[in-house]
Amino acid sequence: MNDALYVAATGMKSQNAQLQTVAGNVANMNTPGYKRVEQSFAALVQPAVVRQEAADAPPMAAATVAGVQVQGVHIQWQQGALKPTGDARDLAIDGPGFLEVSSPEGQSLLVRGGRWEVTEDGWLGLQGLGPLRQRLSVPTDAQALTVEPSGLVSVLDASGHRRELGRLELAMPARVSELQPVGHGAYALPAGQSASPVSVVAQTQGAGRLVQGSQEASNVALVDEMVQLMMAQRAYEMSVKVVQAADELAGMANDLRKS
Amino acid sequence: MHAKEIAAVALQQDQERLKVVAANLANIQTHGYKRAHAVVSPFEWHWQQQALSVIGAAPVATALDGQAGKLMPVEDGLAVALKPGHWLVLQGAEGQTLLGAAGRLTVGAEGQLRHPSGLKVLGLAGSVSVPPGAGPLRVDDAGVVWAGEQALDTLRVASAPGHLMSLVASGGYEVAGGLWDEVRAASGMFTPGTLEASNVVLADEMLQMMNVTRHAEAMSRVLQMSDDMLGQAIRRMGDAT
Repeated sequence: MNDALYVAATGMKSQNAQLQTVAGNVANMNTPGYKRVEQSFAALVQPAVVRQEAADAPPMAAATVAGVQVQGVHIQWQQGALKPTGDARDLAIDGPGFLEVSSPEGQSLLVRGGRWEVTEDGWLGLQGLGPLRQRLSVPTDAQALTVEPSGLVSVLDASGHRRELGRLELAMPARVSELQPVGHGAYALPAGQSASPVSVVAQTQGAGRLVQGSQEASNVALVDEMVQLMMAQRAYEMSVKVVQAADELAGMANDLRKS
Repeated sequence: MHAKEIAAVALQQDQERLKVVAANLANIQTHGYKRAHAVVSPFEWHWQQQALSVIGAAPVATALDGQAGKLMPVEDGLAVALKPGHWLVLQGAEGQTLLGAAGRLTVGAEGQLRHPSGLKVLGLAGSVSVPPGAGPLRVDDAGVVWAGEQALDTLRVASAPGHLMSLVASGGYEVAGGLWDEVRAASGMFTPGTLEASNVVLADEMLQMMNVTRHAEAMSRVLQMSDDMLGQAIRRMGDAT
């Protein structure tokens, strides 16, 4: 019956979801390596009753739009600004590519950077995420670990000589659009269906360069989020107006019999 | 037809028209959405419908407004916009050919290029399959789908006037009488890295909403008036003598 009411309700619901996305982006404005998320909508289509029409009748759709639904979220992979922190333990990537770590469950996780540390077993790893997938053993007496833009990792050994530990490679997934956030700034590819990321030497084959002593700022632009926020609010208001109008129509029908 | 019936049908139709407005407003942020507008059928047509004893409110016929929405840049090689009046060719759920607005294409679970509606996008060689492990995907301005340095296929493009198109269940559009033309994709026909916003104009929809409510008000007045007249007639029937 009063379809407009339900259609408008779907509008309110999806604007609510949009508001949540904006809130998430704004809340993570100062999170290093955070990539902003964008929501996309799709029309909710409902098959309509098809009737036999007279030849001169106006065209009749076989389906009608019965509202809107949230289609999905898209992570925006634009580069965030690199902020020097002065801390040699910060690692960031300038350009495409990810550092690859393995979760305790053996799942491959991709991150845009972080703070390196030496794990208890002596491997080079990232704080809160565990050892890098590409195992680089750091001697216990090593000092002044440096990472060159090309990924070359070296340390000063006890005798003060620079010693190379190996070359960090960047992981390049074929389709970044398939990556799912799993927390701690890490992303994972959905299990099974996607090809595992290709390891590439930094600064080759389109991969970015490694930057030591910097953090990648989030790519959230406050102005964009504000615009999204205003749009969501206005769109919500519009749906409320439609609900009011639908209610008014129902009220009129109710008032037809006055006494 | 009695005045009461006419008014009742009109009231029912106002609700349907409000639904069209509601759907447009709900989709104001849906990329590639084309607004629908209620087609006002001439009274004569309704009269004929009644004469053919089609009882009950006829659903309001809608037509599609094919006008282009604004283009918005996005960072996605598979997000494309098409020149106004042009559509992508899709494969419907029952294998039929449908048209759809350009938008953010995705790769389905079985490696086929899909339209935002979930339907398969058709290239010149049929549905476009993306081999596993293929390089980054993008569509260029001539509609060629690239996986890294390898060209997979060229997207099929159709040109059709929007007002003849009607939505079918799966989310693609059908053109009345199949009157659409295959267009050879040329350079510049696609705008890669952009999405087309919906072509819903807020002010128009608000105006339509006001029209609908006022029209419904007027019709309920007609109904009441004719009821009053009938009541008066009944009350005065005995007064004549």
